[in-house]
Amino acid sequence: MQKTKRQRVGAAGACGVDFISNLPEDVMSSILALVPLRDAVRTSILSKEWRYKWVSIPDVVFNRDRLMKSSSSYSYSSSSDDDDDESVCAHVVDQLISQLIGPICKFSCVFFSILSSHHFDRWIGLLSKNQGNGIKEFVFAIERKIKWYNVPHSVFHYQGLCHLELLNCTLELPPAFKGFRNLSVLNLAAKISKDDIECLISECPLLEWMKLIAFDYYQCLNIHAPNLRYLELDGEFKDVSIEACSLLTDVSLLSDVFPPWDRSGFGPSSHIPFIGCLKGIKSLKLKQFYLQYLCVGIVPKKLPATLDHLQYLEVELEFNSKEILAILCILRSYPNLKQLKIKYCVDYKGRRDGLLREEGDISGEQAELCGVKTESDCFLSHLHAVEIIGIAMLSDLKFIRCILSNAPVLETMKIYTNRHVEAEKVLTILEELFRSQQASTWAEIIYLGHYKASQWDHKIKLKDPRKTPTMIKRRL
Amino acid sequence: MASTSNSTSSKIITLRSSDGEVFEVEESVALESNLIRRMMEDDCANNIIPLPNVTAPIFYLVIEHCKKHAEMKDNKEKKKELRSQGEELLKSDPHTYSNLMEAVNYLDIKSLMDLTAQWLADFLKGKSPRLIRELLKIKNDFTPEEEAEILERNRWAFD
Repeated sequence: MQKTKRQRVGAAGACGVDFISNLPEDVMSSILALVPLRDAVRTSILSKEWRYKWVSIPDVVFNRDRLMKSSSSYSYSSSSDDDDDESVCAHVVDQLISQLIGPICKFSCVFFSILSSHHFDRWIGLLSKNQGNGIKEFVFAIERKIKWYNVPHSVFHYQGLCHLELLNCTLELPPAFKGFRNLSVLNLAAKISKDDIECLISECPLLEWMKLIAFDYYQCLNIHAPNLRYLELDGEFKDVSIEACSLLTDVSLLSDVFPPWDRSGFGPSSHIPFIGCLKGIKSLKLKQFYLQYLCVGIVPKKLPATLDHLQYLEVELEFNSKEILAILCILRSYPNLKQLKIKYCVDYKGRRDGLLREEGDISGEQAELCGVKTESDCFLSHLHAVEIIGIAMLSDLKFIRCILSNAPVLETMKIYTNRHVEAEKVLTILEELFRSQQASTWAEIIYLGHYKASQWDHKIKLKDPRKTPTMIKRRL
Repeated sequence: MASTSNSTSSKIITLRSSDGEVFEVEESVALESNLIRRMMEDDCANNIIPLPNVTAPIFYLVIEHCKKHAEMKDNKEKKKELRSQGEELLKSDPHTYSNLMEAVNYLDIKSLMDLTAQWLADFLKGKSPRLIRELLKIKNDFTPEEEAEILERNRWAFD
């Protein structure tokens, strides 16, 4: 029935009436904002009605792909005529900015690695002059390896900002900085002084989501953000303290360097107190070497406070015995943990070669550290799903057994082996694993092959059937 | 038309299109429309809700797409399929497209607004102005001088 109707109206369309040109103005400008800028500009030649439709697009996204070609096949480092590209690009953006009448809600300029910073200065200058307080979302990123961009002060006066991302920039707050009253999302990968970052955070009262990659070393970072819900920190901190973040539920901490033992004047301090005060969090991720920051000094058996809300924990470890102690300390303090993901960082080639060699028996003291001798007090009483990534040797199993014997309601344990482990060895590991005692009577251990981290993220890709035994399931 | 789904307890909302046809729609579907939501909150929805700007065939399309949209929430394949349907509709029947777009805008349905906007955006991507004019029946009313001026203004985009 519907088909006949379509055909009927279709016939009307065929007689040459233009139905599209008169769509409501705001609808049209939001449509044109979804089109690559180049295509949007080209609509100006369609007819008089279309002449100035594109100039009021609210979202302006400059990156070379979207700007220069409508297909996405343009490669960043394609040619030797980068100099030409630079002047062409710069000229085009100049022209565009001068024609846009706004109001511009979103301005995004990402990875113009070929451009020199004076162009950015000019555009941001124009933008600040013409659009100023209307901008809600400002995104600026350049490629880290090449240069650092000094963000002009005018950006810090955009009073309407809700969303700010500045990646690989150097930031300095202007003396008259009044804060961003509406900012809820802040994503920084920046060189910025401790005072400035602390001031910036505390002057954004509505901040809910923050990711900070700090390129400066901070003695102690104090975060004051009463509405913060999501926090991701990546950097080298002697200490972190967080106050008045009662809504915080999601925390991810990462460090790609070890705690700075050898910095003259001050040694590192343990981050145990920091972790211990994250009272309301539901999800905690400790990535790369961050766990090392919990291993400074004496690792306590439990955190100073019991954190009842935590349901999800993700840790990466290098397998030194103290890390296991730190994990046990965390696990004992999170009685309601439901999901646990442990990743052995054995994927960086060369770095942990020792790990891939099977060693003999571990000594008594070390055995205890590995969790072997932890009494089975079922401290993981709510844990129902475990994922273990990158097992490389038999001694890894000791900690896994400790988990199995302390988790009475465990339902699934997914296992991935390290990709450098040979098939024969995998079989031995699995045989050993399946022989483990477990507290839960219905737990299922699922082996999913070698773990392969993708280039861009740490999401799990499925098994590689060529080298390893295919999926093995065991239900007890 | 609405109660094909299994929820027995769901409330039914009655709506009337501009050409007098009466529709019974599940509340959960009807509330996708912020306009209807506001009308219900203002309590003018005890009786039949009139929709003076939407005709029956277009309203039928709106409901159909609301349901499709709800179905495809976590289904990438279906999402892709739904997104690709715009090209065909715009080529064969731009009139229905514009009616649908205006209805969705009037009813203030966010999910469908995003979808139908994406349809036209995808349609405009990469096509030459000449082809766009032809398919959408847009009449070129520029003089050659005016056209030359526009080309000159943003030469990079037309190369």
